[in-house]
Amino acid sequence: MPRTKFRYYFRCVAVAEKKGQAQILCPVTLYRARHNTMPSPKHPVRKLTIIAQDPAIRVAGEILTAQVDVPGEDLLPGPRGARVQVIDYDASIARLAPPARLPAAKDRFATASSSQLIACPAFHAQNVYAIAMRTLARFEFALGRRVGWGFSGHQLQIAPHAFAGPNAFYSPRDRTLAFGYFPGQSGTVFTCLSHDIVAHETVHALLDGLRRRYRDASSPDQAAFHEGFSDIAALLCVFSLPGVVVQLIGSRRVPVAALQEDALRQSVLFGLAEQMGSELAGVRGCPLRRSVELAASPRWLNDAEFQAPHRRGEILVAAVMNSFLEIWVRRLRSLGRDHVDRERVAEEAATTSSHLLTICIRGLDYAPPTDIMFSDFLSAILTADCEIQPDDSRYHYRRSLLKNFASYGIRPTSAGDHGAWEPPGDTFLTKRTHLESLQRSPEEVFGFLWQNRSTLGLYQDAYTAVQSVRPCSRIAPDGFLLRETVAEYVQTIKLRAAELRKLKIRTPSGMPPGHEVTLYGGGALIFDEFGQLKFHARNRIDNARRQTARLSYMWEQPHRDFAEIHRLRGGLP
Amino acid sequence: MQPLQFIVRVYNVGFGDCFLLRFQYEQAPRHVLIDFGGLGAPESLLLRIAHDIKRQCGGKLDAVVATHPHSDHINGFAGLAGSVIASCRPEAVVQPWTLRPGAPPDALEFFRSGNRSALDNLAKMGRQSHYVRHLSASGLETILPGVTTTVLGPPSLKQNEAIRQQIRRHPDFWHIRPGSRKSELPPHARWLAGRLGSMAARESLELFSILDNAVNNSSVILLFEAGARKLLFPGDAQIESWAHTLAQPALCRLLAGVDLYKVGHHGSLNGTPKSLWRLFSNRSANPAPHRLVTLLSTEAGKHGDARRGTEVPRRKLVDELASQSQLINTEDFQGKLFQDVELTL
Repeated sequence: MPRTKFRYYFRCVAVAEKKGQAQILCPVTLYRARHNTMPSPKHPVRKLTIIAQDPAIRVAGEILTAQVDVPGEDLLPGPRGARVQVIDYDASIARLAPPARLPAAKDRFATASSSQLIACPAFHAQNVYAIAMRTLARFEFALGRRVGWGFSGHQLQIAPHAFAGPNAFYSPRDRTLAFGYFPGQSGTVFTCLSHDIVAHETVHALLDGLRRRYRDASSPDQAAFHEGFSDIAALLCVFSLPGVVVQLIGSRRVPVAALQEDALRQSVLFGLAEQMGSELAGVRGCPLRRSVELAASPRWLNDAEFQAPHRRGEILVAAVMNSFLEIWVRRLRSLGRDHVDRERVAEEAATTSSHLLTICIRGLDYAPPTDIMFSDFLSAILTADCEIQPDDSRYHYRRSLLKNFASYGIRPTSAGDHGAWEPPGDTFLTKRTHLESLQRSPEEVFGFLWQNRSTLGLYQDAYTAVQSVRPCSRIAPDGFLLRETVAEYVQTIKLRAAELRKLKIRTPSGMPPGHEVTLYGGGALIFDEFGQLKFHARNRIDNARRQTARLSYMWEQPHRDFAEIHRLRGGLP
Repeated sequence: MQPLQFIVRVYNVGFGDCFLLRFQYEQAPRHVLIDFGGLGAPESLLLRIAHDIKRQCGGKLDAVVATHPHSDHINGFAGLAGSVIASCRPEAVVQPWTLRPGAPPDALEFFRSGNRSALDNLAKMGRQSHYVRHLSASGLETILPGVTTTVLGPPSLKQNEAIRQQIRRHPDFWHIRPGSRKSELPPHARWLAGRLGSMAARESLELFSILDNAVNNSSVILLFEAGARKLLFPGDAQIESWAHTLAQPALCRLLAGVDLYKVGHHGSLNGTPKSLWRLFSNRSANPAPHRLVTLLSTEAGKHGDARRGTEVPRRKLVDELASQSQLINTEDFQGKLFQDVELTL
């Protein structure tokens, strides 16, 4: 402990004695209480204040905040932790702001006023740290394992004031979430203060870690999936924050008539969209508003306007948000005859959104690792729900998802029961496979693939690589701990345009015969605790219909990165 | 040897420029390609155009002019389309002096990095490369016999400090000045600081890529005089670059008789200075034998805002062009890949 801290300690002791307090504080405790960021057994979680939506949302003149729990960890000033590092460097003025210190024992900003929150860069750092950590924790909870980011390295760097400009994005090659700031109508607008934006960018980084190939140019669906999924996760996270729904509902006791689907759509979804609109619309567009306004119709999928990634993602958001609303209302029905307490209404929203978020995240494990289509995602989340909640008879989550996705023209890829993936009926050779290794070794999984390549339908001339093997522990519906292993493999083949005919793939018009194209395929393998293959969610590399569509799309479309997609969403050039 | 006829093929690249000039001589025609790029144009479209250019010039381009390094003017020189153009083995490639290897002002380095592949291609494809500035030789003298080509822009730094000044003063350019305090950063922040620096620069470049006047002002401005006709191709030059030319009475007299004008900067607010427009004596409201022809290559709704009067193309300018000249607007092409405009010399 530095000498100055001792001086501080003795001053405190003197003050305590003067006040007649008998208790003499231990210098270490005192020092920690004030400065230290080390967790103690007393503080397994750190309570941190965040802005619940964005600073434009005021309740009685004050910004709506929420206190959230993030894992208590040993933080360096910044804060810099094991998985997230906030480095407040502003490239526009080439200046590094002093690092924020977040004590383990106390939430520095629990009682701060709105103007203090906006003016304090340390709070901005706390806000991005807490939201990113909470989002990460949410993913790890749903998947039952540690989740990595989409780049080599373990720590995501966040620059809350990266540059002056109306944009915010995830940049995999820089291992960074960069948040810009810009002049608004009433002072500077900080994108790092919007819950929605921070969560959205963090989800990009997480999704990228789980499915590296989803960033590739492939189809309108895949281009839109990153945006759509990040919006869904960010929006569902909002409903689990205390205070948001309560604030939108208003009156303390809610008449049952106001708890019907249309009424809640107006009051809660539109209300939230209205609030999210404001100045940040220039950065994010209005995903919620646009999706809620998007009338259910299968024709959007083929509409020219909905071929752009940032518009097409809204179809996916709409399907999930409508399912959320339907299930939420179903859950509310059992609560009362004439009036329901608004806290209960909010609680049901939190439960519903939490379950939907879990199956959406868990669904990623059941989604093919390349060239995802919305229909694949639907099959994947239905499978995830079957696994978590085999009995759907009470709240009909799966029925709602199927119905709402179908109303936007999205039908599950799997023709199986309820649209979930079918377990592979075949028997697999496991002669040279060892259970222990199969649960962690890519070589062993590759050995399994190779032995069973014909049964699994692998394209034998393609380069095949196992990307990851991830053991996870999940809670089974019967309450027991379930160990599963999720492995992904990707197949790649480079062909000249003239050779595509062999695979019955049509060449896009105008593509020279010597032009080289790369085709991808692959699958996710889910092994149960006995090493038996439970699911095989895949895209065959020799699926001529999909590959033809993919090539013609890629031939006509320029590829875009996140920064550009986000600018386009905001209506900027 | 005098050219007899002049045909310009105006390609519809969306928001961008691509013009193939054909000077018809008694023997073989000569072809000059001025710019080839479209903002967000799919590669298939660029490739279709590249093949058409190759067909049109019989597999041999005499010269390529890349007015300035913005993707809406040069992204066709990259990738597959670029290799088709390169296969036409142009005799000369004309670019602004700001792109001469090794002698650039520091800030412009940045804009070269965004279109590296196109610029590398351009640097390699010609038998000769010419980097031109205000009133320098154009490099097209032997390629186009009987045609006088005057380079009106870009001004050199010595001739006009304005471009450089603008880079300094432009509020959006302070982002790209390297941070002087990087040496003071703690080790853990250094790597990110470097990355953020280029990220922020990329951002401002992308955001202002159409509006960043400094690069637009580095546009090559070419005035061709063939017979009694004058053809003016100013790239994206804006008012600051024009100011230098318009301040010289002799050059103003030269510009007065322009017969064909490629509308500067896709019809933006300051692409066609009023003082320049007023110089053109061939403007007329009614069809006349030597009525001014204007070429506008643009796509509405990509940039600017009508409410703030910054929309590109500017409505008022388009109305003026339509009433005072014979306007060829790529927006009226309705899916056609190109349109030919003929002028007898």
